[in-house]
Amino acid sequence: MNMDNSIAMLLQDHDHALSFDLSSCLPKDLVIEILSLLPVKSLLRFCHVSDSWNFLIISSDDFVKKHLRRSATDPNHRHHHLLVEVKRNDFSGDVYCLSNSPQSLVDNPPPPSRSPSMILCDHPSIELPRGARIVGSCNGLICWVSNGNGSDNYVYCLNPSTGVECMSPAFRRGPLNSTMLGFGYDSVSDSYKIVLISKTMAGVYTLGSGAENWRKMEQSVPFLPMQCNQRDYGGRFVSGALNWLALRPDGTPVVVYVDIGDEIGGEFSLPSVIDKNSLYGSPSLWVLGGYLCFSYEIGNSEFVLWQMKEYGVAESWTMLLKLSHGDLRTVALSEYFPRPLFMFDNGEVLLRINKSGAFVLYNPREKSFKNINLQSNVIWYQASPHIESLVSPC
Amino acid sequence: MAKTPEPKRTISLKPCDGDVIEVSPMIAKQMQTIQSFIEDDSFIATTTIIPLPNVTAFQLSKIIDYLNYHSNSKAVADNVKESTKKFDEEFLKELEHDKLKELLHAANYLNVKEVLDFLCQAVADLIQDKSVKFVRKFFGVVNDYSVEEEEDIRRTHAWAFEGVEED
Repeated sequence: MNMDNSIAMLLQDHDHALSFDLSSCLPKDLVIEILSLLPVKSLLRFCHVSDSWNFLIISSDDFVKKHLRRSATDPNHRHHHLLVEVKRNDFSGDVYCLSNSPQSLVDNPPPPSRSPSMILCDHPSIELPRGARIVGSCNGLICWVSNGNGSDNYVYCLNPSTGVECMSPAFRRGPLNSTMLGFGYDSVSDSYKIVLISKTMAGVYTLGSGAENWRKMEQSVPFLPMQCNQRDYGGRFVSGALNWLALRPDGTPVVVYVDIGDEIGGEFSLPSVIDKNSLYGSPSLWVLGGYLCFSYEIGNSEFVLWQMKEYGVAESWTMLLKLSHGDLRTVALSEYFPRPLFMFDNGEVLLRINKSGAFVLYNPREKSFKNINLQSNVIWYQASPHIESLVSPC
Repeated sequence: MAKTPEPKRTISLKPCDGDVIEVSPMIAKQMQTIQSFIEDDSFIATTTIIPLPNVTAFQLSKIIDYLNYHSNSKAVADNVKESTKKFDEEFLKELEHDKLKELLHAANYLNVKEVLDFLCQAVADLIQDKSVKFVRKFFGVVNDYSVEEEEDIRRTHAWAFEGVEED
């Protein structure tokens, strides 16, 4: 009978499994499933389990991608961190560290005035030479640029977990703020790319390509990106494109972008209420919850954050939150310097309010916010989302 | 509580070491292996008993418990988060390492995604901070490294060996 046959076949299929010692041996796909849920730190340790595990974890492109996908879609964002710039007393260079996951910072804010270890995860710190700057972070890779004048500048790409790093060909640049950079992943060619835009050139470098020179971009951005913040000039990578703020010839601020796949530039408008005056309110672009966001301040008294619901569609700009300084009474006004850092799946936004550890968690649906104090000797100059991964930059 | 009111509509499952266990079609549906039987034209719910020679009564009832609890709690959404967490913790507490692995095998055989995902995460949580030695033993992996190779790898990722739990 049909039924008996299928049972027999099913049993036969699993016959070989029965002959194993069930307690000690799990099928390979289950082992892979389990490993893909682990943090990078555990995986680097478990490379040590055996040669085949080492091969699976480090050398298998499929596993590295599966692990990244898993980490990126984890509802609790356990493998996300904030890349925090930490002050060092001897001015010898910049130190960046990874914080605990944003969720754990919010759920269990450590008591004030404790050591940085309460906030930072146990991950080696990222020491960059003096004047070096972070360009961006994508899929576990941190892109940074050395600080020099003339032709001997390089862009580096580092996986801070595995310690693997590679560098771009040299490029020439003038003062820091006249060269804009961006870093992102091209899913079509499955490669990571660095984009460089200055008055004199627009170039692309594909990591791991072995090319000796920057490739000239066929069609660059229509207007040169502007630097809004001294510490911050990397393009925001979202929806396969790098985005910067720029000015149209008539002085209106716009978004200029480079599609990382076809390497073609373009522009689109900011929310229609934005005009030349908005430029005085520290306009900035962010990526929150996978959306391009834009923030600025009105008359030094209100902080406004917009979200682009559909990438590239100017009509889809939606105001996400508006915080007045008065709302944030607990914070000294002079220190007020809001920066949106992370958006959770429920829409809540974590904002840094000042450099010394004042944060708020804003709930746009209820228009409510919660103060979070993460005081420590970590100076939050700059903090941006980072996801840990095993991706190799080479 | 999970028994459906119409006894005719239940599916009879026979574990390898115990009596037949009746489950509702809703629960059976989540077990892909069972589902493929049910979808067969010759399947008659009232008379067919599906034998499960790879699954013990203990494992089967654990899986059914989990599915019952979670399908009932889904409807109430957010406010049951705490009690669900508590149920999950209690569920795992009763399982020693070997039992956990055996249950994973059973869930894999029955191909029940919700339980598989939960158990994979449970194993990941268990081993996350454990030593290499513990993991070798847990997964039954033989160390095929030479001493030199082992030291070499250890040096490369020294930070990953800090803060490891005692076995």
